[in-house]
Amino acid sequence: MNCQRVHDALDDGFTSAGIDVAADVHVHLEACAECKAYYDELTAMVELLHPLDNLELTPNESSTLMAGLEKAAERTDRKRPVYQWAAAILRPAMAVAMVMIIMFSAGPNLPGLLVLDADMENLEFSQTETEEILSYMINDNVDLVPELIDPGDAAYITGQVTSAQAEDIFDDLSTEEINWLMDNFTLEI
Amino acid sequence: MLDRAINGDKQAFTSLVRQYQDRIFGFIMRMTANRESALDLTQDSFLAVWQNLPGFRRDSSFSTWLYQIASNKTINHLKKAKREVPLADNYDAPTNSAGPDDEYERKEQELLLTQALTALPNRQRLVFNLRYYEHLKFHEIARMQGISVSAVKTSFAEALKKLKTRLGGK
Repeated sequence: MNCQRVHDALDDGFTSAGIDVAADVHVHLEACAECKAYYDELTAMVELLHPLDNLELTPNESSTLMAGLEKAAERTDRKRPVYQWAAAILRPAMAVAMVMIIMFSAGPNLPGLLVLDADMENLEFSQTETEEILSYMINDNVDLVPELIDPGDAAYITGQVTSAQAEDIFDDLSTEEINWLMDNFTLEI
Repeated sequence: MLDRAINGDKQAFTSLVRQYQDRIFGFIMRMTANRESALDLTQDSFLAVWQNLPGFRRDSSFSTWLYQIASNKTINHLKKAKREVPLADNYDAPTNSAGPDDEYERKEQELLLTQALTALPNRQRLVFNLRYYEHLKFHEIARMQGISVSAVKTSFAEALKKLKTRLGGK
């Protein structure tokens, strides 16, 4: 085992639980002063980083969290699993890399409503529908972090998905839903 | 328990929250360095979990999915927060039963660490937290963030290098 592989193994095994490496790495460490020094350096880092290992809620904070959640959950409907359909209609199209560009802007006089600008056409979505869209994208690992949108502000979301990710997403969509998606989003293939 | 929570059992969901609340709070606290924000974001994250559980498809483990939601909430918060003072200046550790000297020393150590962590760029901080403190695998972080494993490893290595420098290591 060479030194570079040992360094990589040490980096890979370095967590707050210590440095977890295979037995052959330890054998190398006994014979290599340079790698042993790096191992000791990482071990010292584990000690230095230890104070932030377990940051816990106080009992009061935990109670506040549970009470707040209970209250919020009562006011909030659960999302239905709207995107769990089977479909194959777009499989061929999704075989290539795809970039999905979605623009949102808030209607100036419509607090609570968002306007989806697809091809610069104003399409209004309710807050619930918008949340469903965002939730769908977040849950399906699309590479984007949606900006939360304040009424009156303009914002945009750009998501880039690879062909593999696109297949994963569209595997579970029905024809109806894919049509909806195609109608309402700008899809650049 | 997860199946029951997915099917709307609030008691099962409460058990899930109790099981994961400290991990999620700790993760967000290390990201934001602000106790009040961390508590709010923890609540927001679990509320999003409750709302979205019916659509949870088990493509990843529940805990990875939970970290993904918490990561998104936290990064959104960090992006939105146009801070005029550094995060670490707002750092507020909880009090505990230790003596005043111990308590002072502990808070000093936490502050030093928090300053070092919050000085990292968001992605490096996120990757370091998820890997080092939360023990997620590199490929899980890569999938969660939609980036390559090598990009995750590079972010982690960069973060580690900066932390070593800032914390007085080599």
